[in-house]
Amino acid sequence: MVKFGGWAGKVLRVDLSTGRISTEDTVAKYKDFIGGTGIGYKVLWDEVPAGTKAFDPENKIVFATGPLAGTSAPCNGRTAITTLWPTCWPKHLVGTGHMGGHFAAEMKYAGFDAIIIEGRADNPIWLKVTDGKAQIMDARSLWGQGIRRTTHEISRLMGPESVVAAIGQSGENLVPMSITINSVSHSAGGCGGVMGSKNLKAIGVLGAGAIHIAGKKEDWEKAVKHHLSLFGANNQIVVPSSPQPWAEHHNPASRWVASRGRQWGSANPPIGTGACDPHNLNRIAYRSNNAAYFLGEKAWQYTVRGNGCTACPIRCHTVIKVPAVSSKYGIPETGQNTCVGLVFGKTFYKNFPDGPMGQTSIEACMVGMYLADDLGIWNNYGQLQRDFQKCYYEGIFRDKIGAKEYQSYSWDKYEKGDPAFLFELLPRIANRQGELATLLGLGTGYLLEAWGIAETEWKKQRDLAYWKLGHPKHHSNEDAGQCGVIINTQYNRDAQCHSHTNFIRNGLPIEVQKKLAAELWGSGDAVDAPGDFSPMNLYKARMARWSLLRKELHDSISLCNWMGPWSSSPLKERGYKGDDTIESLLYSTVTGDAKSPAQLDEAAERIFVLHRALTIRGMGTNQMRAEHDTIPDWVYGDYKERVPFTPGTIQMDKADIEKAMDMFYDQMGWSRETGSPGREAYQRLGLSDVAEELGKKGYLDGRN
Amino acid sequence: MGEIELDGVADLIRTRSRAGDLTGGKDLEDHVPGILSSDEVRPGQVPGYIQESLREQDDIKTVFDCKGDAFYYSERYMTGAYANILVLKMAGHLRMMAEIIREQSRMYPRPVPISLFRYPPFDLEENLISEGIEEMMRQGPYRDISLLTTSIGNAFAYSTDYLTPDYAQMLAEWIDVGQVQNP
Repeated sequence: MVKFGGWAGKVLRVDLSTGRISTEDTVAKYKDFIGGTGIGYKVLWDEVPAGTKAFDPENKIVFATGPLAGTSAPCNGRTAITTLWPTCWPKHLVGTGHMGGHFAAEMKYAGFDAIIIEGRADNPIWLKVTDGKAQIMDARSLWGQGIRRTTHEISRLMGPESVVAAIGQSGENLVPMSITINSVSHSAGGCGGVMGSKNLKAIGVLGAGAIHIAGKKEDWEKAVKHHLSLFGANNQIVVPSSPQPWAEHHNPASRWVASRGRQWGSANPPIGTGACDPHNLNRIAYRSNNAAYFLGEKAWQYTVRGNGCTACPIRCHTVIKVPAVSSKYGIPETGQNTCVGLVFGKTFYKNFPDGPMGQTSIEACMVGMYLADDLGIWNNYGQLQRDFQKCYYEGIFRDKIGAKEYQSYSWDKYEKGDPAFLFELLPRIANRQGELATLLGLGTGYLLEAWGIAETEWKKQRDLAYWKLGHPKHHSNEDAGQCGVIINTQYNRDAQCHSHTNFIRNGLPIEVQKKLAAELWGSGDAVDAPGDFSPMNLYKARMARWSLLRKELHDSISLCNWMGPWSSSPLKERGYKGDDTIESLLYSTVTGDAKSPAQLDEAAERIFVLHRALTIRGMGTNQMRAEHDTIPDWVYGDYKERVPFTPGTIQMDKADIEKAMDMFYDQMGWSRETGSPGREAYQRLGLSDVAEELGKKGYLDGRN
Repeated sequence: MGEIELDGVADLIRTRSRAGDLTGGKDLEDHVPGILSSDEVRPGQVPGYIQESLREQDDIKTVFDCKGDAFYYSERYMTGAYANILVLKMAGHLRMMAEIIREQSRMYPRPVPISLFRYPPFDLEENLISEGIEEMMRQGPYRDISLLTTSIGNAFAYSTDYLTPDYAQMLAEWIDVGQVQNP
């Protein structure tokens, strides 16, 4: 057998019901699916029958990464967690969570590309994985502890170099809205409850191994340096937020916030970011400050530094130190996170006494991070907070829950924007105390069902951002018109695809974007200026397909889709062009398995279509267009009653979206009528066995 | 003027470009007194022989202010776009703001948060910005400049030559609120 680089070589399988631990050869069994979500979907397809529920012992949870993880490939620190999704409503269909940090690398150094957990332990356990071996350890003393204490205790046992992925009380209590966290702040949303259902408190990994890189050292170093040279700031925005001497363009909405005079004010001594010329590859980490981006100017004084994942120069997690919270709330002064994790606490509130970007909102973020990242509560990309606000302000909580429970909450504190309110709410969610908290913890779909509220009510209101199956949109028409809508129809939770939005929001003028788009997708017509959408066309369909396949590729080879693809760059001398072959270059050099971009896209398509097949089987229908790929009403509305294709509205046109779906299905080689692959599509991708099984069940489109 | 001193001029331009500054006649005179001594050259102007020599340096580029005086920068460290901002600054704050607002309304397209002008390289006082915008909205040559406020109270300016009020409002909201709310 050919020896490849990149892969550690083994997949660990642990049956918690029997205690049996075994291994499989990664390459022999899973190479065609690469790693990450590819391995996850393959395991679920082969081993988890339709009709299984998320918390059944028959469900499996797969922690998997790809051949780039643990190397010096930038942005490789990603673990994909694949399982049946407990918040997916009304059926638990396949879903994935993704966590950064250092778990992926350490798992590889310990000798494993993936860990498959099956069955259910009789008592709480944690899994110790070191240098090719695994042990099931007693976790009864850890059960009931938060994530921080659990991590500390396991690290004490395994050593400071170990990496621990743990659940908190929320996951233990089978709250569907639960996370798994590693490396302090790196969470994967939605899968914590599945771990809890298996009595799996944590996985600790530690290894002394290394990743073999098949290519020549000088070729690898050249590839990495080339990749780094294309980097922008967080989310691959390639222009700064204010004019800089080195920059031709800028964008006030950019996350590239560094400039002369900006300081990380709570570093000791304070550290200036400088102007961060893009040619200086040693200062990439200074470009972004997500605390300042999300929390406003005030956050600069509280910024200690950036933090992040293995081999990622971006450092998108911001460490902030807010001394006031220690005496006010009894919590540590320091916290860190990014994006929705950072604003977890703040986004529950409509108002703060000192405005949306004042001191109180920052304190709410600190309290939110402290509680949520320890209890292990998920926000479902902000849907938890939006649902909470709607239910409170429209009187739904008051109408639906008993008076005694309702009055047990300090609503006056909530309305005033007092962060202390979170100490009442979040532990109740984690511990399933009371109807309000318990139902919030189920996720939107089950909350609505429990209270007899039609899902259509949530689908009418744009501000709620709700899409379907209990989950919100994630970069849809507000970002990328029809392309964004298509992407949001395809998954069983929020799409988590950034391929399209990282391009659309890169900050370059529209004419430059169109030039780049022409090279990537065949015509500048693939992209529109924000809020000035044109009717659907072939190139937008190509962009949608590209976006989805790149996301699956990243989730399988282990590159961060919150940063990639690198379709544009900050380099004026390149005409701001990125490099759409980066994935192929890195993969081929690391593994020695030379694959062109087209060949890797084919592997990504195989993985994506397997997800489709899992969804078809799980739903028990191949009528995906009608029953799965649905679009909420708010996409077709405009609060000023402007018509579609008018500058200023993001409203879509129904007939145009129907055309968009037709064109997307054509791009995928799927049936326009059903939105499902036919036998030929599966066979082309080496999924004949999948076609066979679906055909027997009558889920194949057309020719069986 | 020796070759060494002319080389020093190019290096000076590069150093100043790296610091975010243009180099004009006065800057040369400050650095090398007497370098501009010439009866044919008015104060602040760069003599022809220096201009000619600088033309031989591939990275040294020229921009001109409204008086026709030359200013230099090195494109190794500064873009033409940034150099143009610095030249506009010399033209007065009204013209500078108007041109920036128009360019951004046309090119990206998007309105401009007026807070932008408080920071480098614009460095305007807050009252000068708000008074300036009001004056622009009154004056003939700048009457295309218009103001709006986002839902969180931040003021943006745009040119009606390129953006309708409705579209400008949407874009400002997207910049100021929407992208943060859709992380």
